[in-house]
Amino acid sequence: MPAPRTVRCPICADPFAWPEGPEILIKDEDTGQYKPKDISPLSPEKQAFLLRQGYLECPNPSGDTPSHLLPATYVNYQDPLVIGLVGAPASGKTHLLTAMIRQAYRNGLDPYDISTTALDILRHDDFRSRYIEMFEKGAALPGTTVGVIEAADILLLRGPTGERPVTFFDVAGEDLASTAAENRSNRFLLGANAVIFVCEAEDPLETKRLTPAENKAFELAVERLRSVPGRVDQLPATIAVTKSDRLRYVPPADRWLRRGDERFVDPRRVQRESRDVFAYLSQTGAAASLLPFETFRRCTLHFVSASGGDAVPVNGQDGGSTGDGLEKYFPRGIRPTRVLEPLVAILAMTGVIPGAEADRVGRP
Amino acid sequence: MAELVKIRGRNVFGRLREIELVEGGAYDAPGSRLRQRLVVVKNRSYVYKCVPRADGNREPALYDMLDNEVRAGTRLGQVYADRYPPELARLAAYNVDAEEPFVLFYAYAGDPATGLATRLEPEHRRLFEVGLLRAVRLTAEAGVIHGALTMDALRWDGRQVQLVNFESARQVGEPRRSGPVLPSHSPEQSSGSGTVDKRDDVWAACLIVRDVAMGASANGFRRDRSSDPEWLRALLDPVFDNEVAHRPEPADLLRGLRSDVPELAAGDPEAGLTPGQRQFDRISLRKRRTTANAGQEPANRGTNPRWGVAAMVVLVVIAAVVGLAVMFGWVNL
Repeated sequence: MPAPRTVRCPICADPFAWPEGPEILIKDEDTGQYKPKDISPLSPEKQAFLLRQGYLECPNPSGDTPSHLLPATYVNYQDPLVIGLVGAPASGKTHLLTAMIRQAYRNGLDPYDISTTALDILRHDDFRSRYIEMFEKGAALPGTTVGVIEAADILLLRGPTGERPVTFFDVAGEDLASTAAENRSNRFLLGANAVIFVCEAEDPLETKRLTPAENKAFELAVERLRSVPGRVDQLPATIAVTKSDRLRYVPPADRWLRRGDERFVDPRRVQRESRDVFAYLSQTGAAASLLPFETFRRCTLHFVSASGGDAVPVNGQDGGSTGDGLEKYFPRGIRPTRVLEPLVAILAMTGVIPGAEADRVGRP
Repeated sequence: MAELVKIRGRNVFGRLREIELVEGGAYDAPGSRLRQRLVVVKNRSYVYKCVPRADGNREPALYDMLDNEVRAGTRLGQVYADRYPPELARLAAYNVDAEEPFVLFYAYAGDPATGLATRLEPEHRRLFEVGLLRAVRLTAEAGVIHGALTMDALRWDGRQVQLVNFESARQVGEPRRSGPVLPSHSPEQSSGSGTVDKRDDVWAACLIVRDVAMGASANGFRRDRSSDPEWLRALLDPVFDNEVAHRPEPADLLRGLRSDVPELAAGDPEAGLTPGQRQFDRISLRKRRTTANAGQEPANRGTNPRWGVAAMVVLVVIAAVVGLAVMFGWVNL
């Protein structure tokens, strides 16, 4: 009998032996509770059907995290890819992640022969109703709740190299900037095998600062990753400059935004964009945001715009609100631009997109 | 007293600012499809062009026109910065994300040139022609093509020409649009083929030059130049008889009009990026050296396709030589 597969839980970051028993947890739609169900008496087809909707409770051997569930099929595929988004409060992480997952679902990875589906169906439904649907209505999304340690979404990518689960973490900027050693929200960094560092194209009028401040979220995340030997040499990283639509008429961002989404992997183009983004951040004094590029051996940089424009206050003034709690919205709807580029770079750097060209992405 | 309104707009470098303005009255400059009015900011007049939501819903292309206007205006502002030439309308602010997207221009100079070709005094004609070609030269050298150059897009204050209304503007090197064809368009612009050339506005400019030069005797049949004076034909034949790649540039036409062609005060909007780009290169080099020293690089790296091709070529040559050697009995197997 083969030894049970060892996996690292993306939520508590504990490694554990995946249980092979016949029992899974199924959500009771009436009570909202998860109930155990033995699926062994069922036909293979019914087992497979229920498995796709079932969960297992992570044993969390360290005993340091509240009860959490993983999709029952989490280990049925290649090694899971865990992508963490790191950025200061209000840097646009949630908008970027929402636009990115939305685009992936809208066949945005087709040019790379990759299709997207939900691995954790309930989690994706929740993400869709809380974020994607609001976003599609043109609403500016609320910031991530402080203290949340759950994965935002767990997708299954099917591509030329097989099927690979991809877990996204979007943790509140306040938690990322927390220096508390026991802050559990940062735990995902231990299990992450790729990181998207998110910084915004700042408006001094909004931030009340003439030059960008230090980037505590980046600095602490980099230091936490450095604490694991060999991590910075192995971990692919990208830096995404969100809200780049503010620079849509300013070089060098203008020429990248006008290109729209790319259709193939070209490491030379990625390097040209990375060089331009680096130069822009350097010119604006955002040197603290460049730390990941200096630290990680493979790192790309991108201009992205999740919404295509700035949100404006409802009723024309800050503090205005509609009945549904909407405070800001995008008057002309959303027009995501280049939001998949950081993800495509990570998929290339982790081998999900295969080939010699993809393998050169992010190499210095 | 007019009400003070606070709006937010970005300058040509994308910096967001708060602007306090009061309404300055209706404004009806010809040649613009966008809604326009005058506003006053700190006692100075500006042209405010916008797309109210109802207009945008009715005609979404208006948003593209505003985008063209802002894109051209910011580019010209970045290139000429604090030495901005009076021959070009100057963008002061814009906000394309607002409920009512807008662009704000410093008040245009002079009056619309519409219908002026037949009214200009002979002593002003050359001044007008030179001013027009200077404006076209200034935009082209900044990589901007106006795209709808007619008398409606020109202002004249008795001494100087100013080019306004960049709603159809494009940037050099982009694909030409297959949009509405204007009588002033060159054959290449009309066909919508190829990429935008820095001489794309020269055709339309020379149609105007001819109209102005001929004055009241302009026959309206713009391609029939048989009765044009010799000097005018010498100036314009190279424009109308050649494809865009062989057409003269505005500077050549200015020389043809015996006008001086001063050095342009164009700056490089990306000059400030150079130190950062160099730093990127330095860090990349350091990473490569570190990786090479640690011997990490080959582990997960795909083969460089060029080396792969070279190796394949060598193998094919060796195989061919061995094959020939066997075939001709040079070696015994």
